[in-house]
Amino acid sequence: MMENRTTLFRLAFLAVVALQVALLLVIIVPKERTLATGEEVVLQTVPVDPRDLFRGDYVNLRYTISTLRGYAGFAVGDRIYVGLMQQGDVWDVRSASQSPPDGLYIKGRVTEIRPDSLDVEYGIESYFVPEGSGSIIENADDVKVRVAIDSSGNAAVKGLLVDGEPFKPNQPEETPKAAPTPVVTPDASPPLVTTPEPVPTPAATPTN
Amino acid sequence: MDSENRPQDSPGDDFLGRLQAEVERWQQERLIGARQAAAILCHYGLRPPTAVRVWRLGRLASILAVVGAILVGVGIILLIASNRQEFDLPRGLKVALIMGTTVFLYALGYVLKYELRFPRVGDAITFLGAIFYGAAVFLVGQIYNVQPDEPRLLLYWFVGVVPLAYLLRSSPILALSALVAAAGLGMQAAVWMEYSGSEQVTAIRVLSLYGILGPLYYGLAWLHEGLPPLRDLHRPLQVIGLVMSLAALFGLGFTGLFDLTDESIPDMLGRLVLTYSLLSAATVVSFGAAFYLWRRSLASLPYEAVAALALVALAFVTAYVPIEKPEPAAALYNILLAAALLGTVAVGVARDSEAHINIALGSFAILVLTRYFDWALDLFDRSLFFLGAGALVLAVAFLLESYRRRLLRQVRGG
Repeated sequence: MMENRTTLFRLAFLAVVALQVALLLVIIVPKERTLATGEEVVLQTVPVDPRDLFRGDYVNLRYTISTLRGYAGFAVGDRIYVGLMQQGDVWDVRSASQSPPDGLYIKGRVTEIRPDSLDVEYGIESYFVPEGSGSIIENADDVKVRVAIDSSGNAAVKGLLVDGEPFKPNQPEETPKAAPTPVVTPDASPPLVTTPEPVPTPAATPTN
Repeated sequence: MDSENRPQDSPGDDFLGRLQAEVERWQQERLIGARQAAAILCHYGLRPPTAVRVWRLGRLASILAVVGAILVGVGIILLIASNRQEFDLPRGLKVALIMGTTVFLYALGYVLKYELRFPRVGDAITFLGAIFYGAAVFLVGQIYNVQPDEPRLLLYWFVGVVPLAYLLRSSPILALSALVAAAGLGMQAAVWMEYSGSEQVTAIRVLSLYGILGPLYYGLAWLHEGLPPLRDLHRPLQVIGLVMSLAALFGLGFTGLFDLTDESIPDMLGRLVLTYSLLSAATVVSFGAAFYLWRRSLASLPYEAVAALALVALAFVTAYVPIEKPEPAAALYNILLAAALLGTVAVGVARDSEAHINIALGSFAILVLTRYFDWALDLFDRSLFFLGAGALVLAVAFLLESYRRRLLRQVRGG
């Protein structure tokens, strides 16, 4: 009797630990699937208020596709499907609708409605960086994001392109830059420079 | 029986046998705690004198183990969250390390408690596992760049640890679960309200949410106390429920909160109304079930239930009805908070609960200090307010003292 209770207790304990592992997998599996099977696109970020750009150990990102102009009939909180098309080396808005369009699209949610535009979030607005390296992104001239989008419109960040090169948090600060235009930080710390590296191909390995 | 340890003129074995049985019964009925039981049995030589020391060392070991577990947990979280390049590992390996550490901590806690018979350290390591699991949820989210203010991460934490609290009958893990659930609900409400763009209205509605959740926890505490297998788990719910209820009233008592002249007040979102309604219904059900369980000795339950349900109703009204005059609204919440604090002291005295009295007195001190600086009154007005409030409290004390003397006279006369 006592042994049965002990066995039952052990099984229940194991079940709770298994439940916790399963809950972690609920986060991991969809993201891994998107990263593995999704089509890679490059999205252009737009500058955000520097006071809000870098918070703690992650960067807040806003994209050109975060603000949609000329689309009506949406309410705050609505699901939105944004069709994408390639324009040069980045992808931009092709259409926006309440049902999935043909071709490549990304799924988002309407967060704000203004008289002439909509704000949309896609779940790719955060990028975690090693402690203390956020200023490299904050001081960059151009930040693009490599994003994987699966067939259901779910997106996952694969990596950042800072001034055209993959984001390297531990890049040497004193190495001369290819183009001689050092970026000076507002607090007059040593100029940040980047080492020339090949532009990544779509099949490049994720940074995380 | 240890006859050498008995005091001189020690009573007979019959008495000692009955005393031992009584002490066990007193302890079961919670008239005395483990320390008092050990002290009484030592005094009569029924336990060696070291028994009280053993109890004290056990308690100290428990406290140190929990503090140590929290420190180690925070250290691990910060180490991984710092995302330092020195620890830059492939994504799969990071995930495996996080999952492996979670499972390892639980396995270690289990082995220490049930196999090697170190229950206190084992419990602390399991508690550390529950903290680390929460960190694991956020760290995995970080690896996949999930929004850090995503409420579902807190939901995963809560769903993962609450069964563990009941399986192990662990008060610290239940307290953790209750706090995580509260944080998750608050964050979800804030995210829903964020779309409306009004920070003040968001604050009012999140505080209102806690004005419902606090009474729910308090009702659940009564329910747990009435069910013998869950009795040991009632304390964290009681303390968190009480503090959350008082904190909601306290937060709503700031004059600036209702100063919405420049704000457009957005409609209540359907999802938020549904959340409020479900939590309110759960509060009513828990107090109803508590009434059934305690039907033979209701004690202060009816008064506490009325106060809790009144707060739920008030929270609902606060969230729904736009308040046009900030000062009277803030004054009303402060008066209600003062009444709630007096009620808490009364409940503490009636139930002989130090927790109630300490929470009420601590809250009272915070209330006086903050309101002194919050209210932009002239010194003269301030002085009148504090003179009036002080005189009122002294009058209540005088009436209580008079009532006490009357009772004493009745006791002596009878």
